[in-house]
Amino acid sequence: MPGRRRFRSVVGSARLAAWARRVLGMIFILASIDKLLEPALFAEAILNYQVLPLSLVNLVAIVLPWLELFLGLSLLAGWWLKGSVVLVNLLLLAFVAALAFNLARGLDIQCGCFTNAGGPITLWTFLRDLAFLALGAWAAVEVFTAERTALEKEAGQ
Amino acid sequence: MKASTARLVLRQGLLLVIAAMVSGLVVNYLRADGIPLIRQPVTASREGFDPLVRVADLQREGRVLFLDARPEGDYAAGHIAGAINVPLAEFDLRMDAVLPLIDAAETVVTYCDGEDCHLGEILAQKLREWGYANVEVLPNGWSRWQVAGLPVERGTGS
Repeated sequence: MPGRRRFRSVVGSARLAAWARRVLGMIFILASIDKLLEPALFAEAILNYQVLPLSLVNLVAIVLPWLELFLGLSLLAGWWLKGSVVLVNLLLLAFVAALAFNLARGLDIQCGCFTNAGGPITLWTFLRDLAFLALGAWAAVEVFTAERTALEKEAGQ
Repeated sequence: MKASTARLVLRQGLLLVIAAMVSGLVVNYLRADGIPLIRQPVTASREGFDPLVRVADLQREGRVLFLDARPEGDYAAGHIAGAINVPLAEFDLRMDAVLPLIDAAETVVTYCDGEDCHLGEILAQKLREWGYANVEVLPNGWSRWQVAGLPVERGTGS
């Protein structure tokens, strides 16, 4: 079928997939800034999700924004792509699961997704995270199937 | 995935996580608005100490009136020493006798039994609506009072 072939050629295009990866990198960098500036507020947001033990809430609030920043930079610049693309997808899976869990049990809490007080969790924030996950999967396909030489050239290795 | 690729993913992932941990912990230590690494339970940080201890101190000094919000049977089986029984269902009936005591008391503390019993809170709310501001609630008061080995008494006498 021509439609399916076109879909394959778009998804399989290394150039487009590389852009998906860079966009995801920028999203992660943007998402880290407000949390880096206000760790106390981010800790409150994490606490309200009620999915982490109390003893881990502050540690995650301290470390996660930096991880998001480094992962975003890696994706954007093409450094350590294999490790960062796997971590990004794992993080997005965790975010999607935490959102779905709290939407399902009807908790009315702040998303804490891009800014600490950006708005509540809704079906929209859940679908948005799913879209990011799709970008992540696309980027993973690129990173793990693209020709090594092209990647190494970009990474300057 | 080949074993060498898996090792590469693991090594890069681990280094990224370590870099984030080091950056996060160092910056959090240096910045003025850093947060504690381990979060303390909210009650401990807000109260500073257990409200039970403070209330027990007040009782020793005779500065507190306890109101037991549980049904009469529970009250008769045992209650905080000196507590007056005000079952919520009989609030209006009992208040005439209790009001002079409340007027004389420095602090009024209501309680019920069990983490899920809110009779103490409802009673406190009613008293506040009546204009008494110095009313506090001792959550799960009867159980915690007993566990702490503080003075109790039985019967309906007091």
